[in-house]
Amino acid sequence: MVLIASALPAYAQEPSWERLINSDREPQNWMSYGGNYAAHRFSALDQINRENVRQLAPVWMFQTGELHGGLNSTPIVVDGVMYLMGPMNRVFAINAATGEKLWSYIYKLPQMSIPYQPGSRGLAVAYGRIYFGTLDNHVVALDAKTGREIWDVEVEDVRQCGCNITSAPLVVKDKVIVGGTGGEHAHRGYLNAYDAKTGKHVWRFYTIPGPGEPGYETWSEKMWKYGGAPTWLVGSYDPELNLLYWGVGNPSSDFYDEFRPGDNLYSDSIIALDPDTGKLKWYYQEVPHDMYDFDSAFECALIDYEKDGRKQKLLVHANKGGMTWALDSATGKYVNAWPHVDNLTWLKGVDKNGRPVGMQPVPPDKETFVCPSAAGGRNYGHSAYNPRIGWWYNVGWEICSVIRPQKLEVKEGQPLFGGGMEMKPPKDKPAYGHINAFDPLTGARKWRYNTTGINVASLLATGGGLIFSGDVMGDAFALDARTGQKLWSFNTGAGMSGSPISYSVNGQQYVAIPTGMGSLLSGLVPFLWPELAHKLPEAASTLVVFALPETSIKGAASNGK
Amino acid sequence: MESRSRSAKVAVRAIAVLFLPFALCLSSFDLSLRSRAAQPQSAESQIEAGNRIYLGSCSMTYCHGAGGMGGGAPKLRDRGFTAEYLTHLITEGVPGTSMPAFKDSLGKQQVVQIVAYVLSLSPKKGAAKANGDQQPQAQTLDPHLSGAAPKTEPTTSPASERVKSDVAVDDSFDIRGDVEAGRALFFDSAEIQNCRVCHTVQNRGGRVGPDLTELAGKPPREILRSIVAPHAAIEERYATITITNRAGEKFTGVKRDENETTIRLYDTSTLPPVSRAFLKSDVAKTERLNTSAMHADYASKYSLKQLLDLVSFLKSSNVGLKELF
Repeated sequence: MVLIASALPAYAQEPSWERLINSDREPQNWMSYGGNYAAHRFSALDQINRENVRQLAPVWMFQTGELHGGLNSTPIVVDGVMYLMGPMNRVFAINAATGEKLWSYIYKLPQMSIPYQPGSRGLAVAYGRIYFGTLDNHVVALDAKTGREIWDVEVEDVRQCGCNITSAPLVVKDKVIVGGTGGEHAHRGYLNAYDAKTGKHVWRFYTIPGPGEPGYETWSEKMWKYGGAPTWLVGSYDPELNLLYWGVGNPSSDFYDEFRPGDNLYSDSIIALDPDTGKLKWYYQEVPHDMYDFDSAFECALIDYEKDGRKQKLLVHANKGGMTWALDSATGKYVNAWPHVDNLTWLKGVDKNGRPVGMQPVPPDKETFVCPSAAGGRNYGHSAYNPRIGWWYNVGWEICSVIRPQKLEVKEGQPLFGGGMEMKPPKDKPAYGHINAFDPLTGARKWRYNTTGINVASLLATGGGLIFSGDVMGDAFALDARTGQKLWSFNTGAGMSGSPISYSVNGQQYVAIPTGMGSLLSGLVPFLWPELAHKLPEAASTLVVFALPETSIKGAASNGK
Repeated sequence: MESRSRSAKVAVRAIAVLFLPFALCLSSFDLSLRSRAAQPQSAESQIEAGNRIYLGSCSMTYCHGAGGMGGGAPKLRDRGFTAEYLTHLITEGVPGTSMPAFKDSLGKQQVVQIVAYVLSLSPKKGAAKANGDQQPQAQTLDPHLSGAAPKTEPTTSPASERVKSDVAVDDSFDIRGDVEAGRALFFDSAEIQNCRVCHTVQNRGGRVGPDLTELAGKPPREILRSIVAPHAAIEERYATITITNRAGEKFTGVKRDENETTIRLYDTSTLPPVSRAFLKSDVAKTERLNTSAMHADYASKYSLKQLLDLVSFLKSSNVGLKELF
């Protein structure tokens, strides 16, 4: 493993970089957003397994006290303490075994309308500190023991850029790396790195090249400053290659393209950066000249693929357009691409380099029916990978939309959506959704589980051979990772749009599932599934934590500490 | 930097050529609105105009959906809204939610049109019926906001006045700053260390350094001096302090605030400034310095033309080079 000793913070407290980057050795903890730096969302714990999961029961719950924004986040657990980001940037430290609140930090948001959403997807923990981005576009560091504020730095005036931070940062060595929203505003997307100790700004990578930079020619002079291409989710990191991977969102003026002829790099791309300098190492664009709002912002799963003695380092990435790309994570070279939804109209296929061919035009003067919808073949509910089985699990949404482009004034920081859209079911059938198991290289589907409406929440894979998630109707559930059969469910009373995790304290395995939708995506449900409208759960913002009864733990295999 | 050797005519022409299209572009939006406002619109054209604005502003991504439904935000079709309610909601937004206040981005006339459009999505029982009014919905709107009162508005836009004054630059040579170019520099989002990271003008910008709105009343040369030689005059509220903690680390900047246990400092040693919180029990020493926390390299960072632009922006009028000396 290549680690640059001098880049390690001298003040390091727990968890250290060494622990963070080797988190697979500590299955009792869930120390980073994706469970590990490869975005696997896999817990090796197996105390809860296919045989006993039916006995799973809630053991404690935690209320964030704020319903606006539900609970979208991924809890973090380090050494028996859970750190939870609630909506409106409410941060909590909780005893992970009992649910007792240890401290809270309520960030003071100014009276303002919040771009994108009032929910937040999480925080990062490293070196005795909590790091998070705010809905008014600041990055804040707290003391992990006390919740005391240490530093706070503004990224850019939210009123000027129309952008903010709704996701968790990623700590890489001595830096806190933070993405932001802004794809539907006249804004130039970027990724920022701050010194983890001091908060000092270290580098900024613009996702739209400026004059003189390669890729600038893929934009018009009018739009390079305002073309969106946000970094609104969380990246991955490979310590062997020292590469930081981040998915980039759609170009602004989403449906109206007169202003932005060209491929519009690096919108809808995966970028690989040197985390020490912020310099681009490679990029791969999935949707050149996007006309459909198909962000490529989702997680980059880093998978060491092995078959018939052949090893390959893959970056597996599901796009909002319903396609999944597998790339060589060292070089960015195309390896394979396959659809993870059934209804796709926007492309006919991909060429030998993975570039879409036969892309559906979206003429400025009429309506265009496109599948999947701009809400995506899936959205930010993350995939999971079980390295023991070698399968990658991902959700799919079969929803289409009618796009109505419209020319808008381009004004910095102002909305720039370039039209409107209406969600529609696919032609001749109702809308539906599913969870699938795939071979991550070939895309061969191993099983499908049909969900109730769309599954907005992330997936969690465990060493117990299970896939956990929760649906919009309030059911937390577990599927058999090998067959897709539903083995357990529990009605939490609130729809789910966050990310379940698993951890253990004192030998007891827990599964924590955030409940409370708080996402505009939930508004799609009554429209597309009118039969569910009157049954939709009420608002909530509650973490529900499950474990097995004492009696069934005895005798169950455990690798928790 | 502009060269003094250029002839006055060339300079004037260059400024006029560079500036005219920009100014016209800026003003065309307002002017077109006013020309529309001058003739009361029919209900149908109000609704049609409202639909156009709606598509770009309200049916964004997961919001209200084209046609008032099918998005993630509350549906707007078949609702009993009143014009007053919608106008207030659209103008002021709903703080704490994703519904923005559109008063910053939409004119009153545009709000009227959106309201007309949204009302048209529901059967005519809401506002119209409540008023016992059989007129088309667009005419039941608040008269203060409708297109029927254009006479109170000025007939000349500020932008078109600017164009006139720029073309009529004095024949003797002078470089003139440009308010809009100065504004762009002040808020330049491509420059991480722009002025706004510390300063506010007209309620926009950071609170680290003084609010510069009041500078408009000062002579241009005094404004220039405060940019290039910030140490000359320091407001007590923004005095530079150094905090030394018990570990011996020193931090320099401007005090943000304090309470019983904590003092917060905007550390200005690098930009953007970082707000740092110190437990008072951990502070060994606090010193006041006689220098400004503002960096003193702006004379070399900006060209003379750019400094003129900034002074012009802060004065809200295009300042000539001669006014500085």
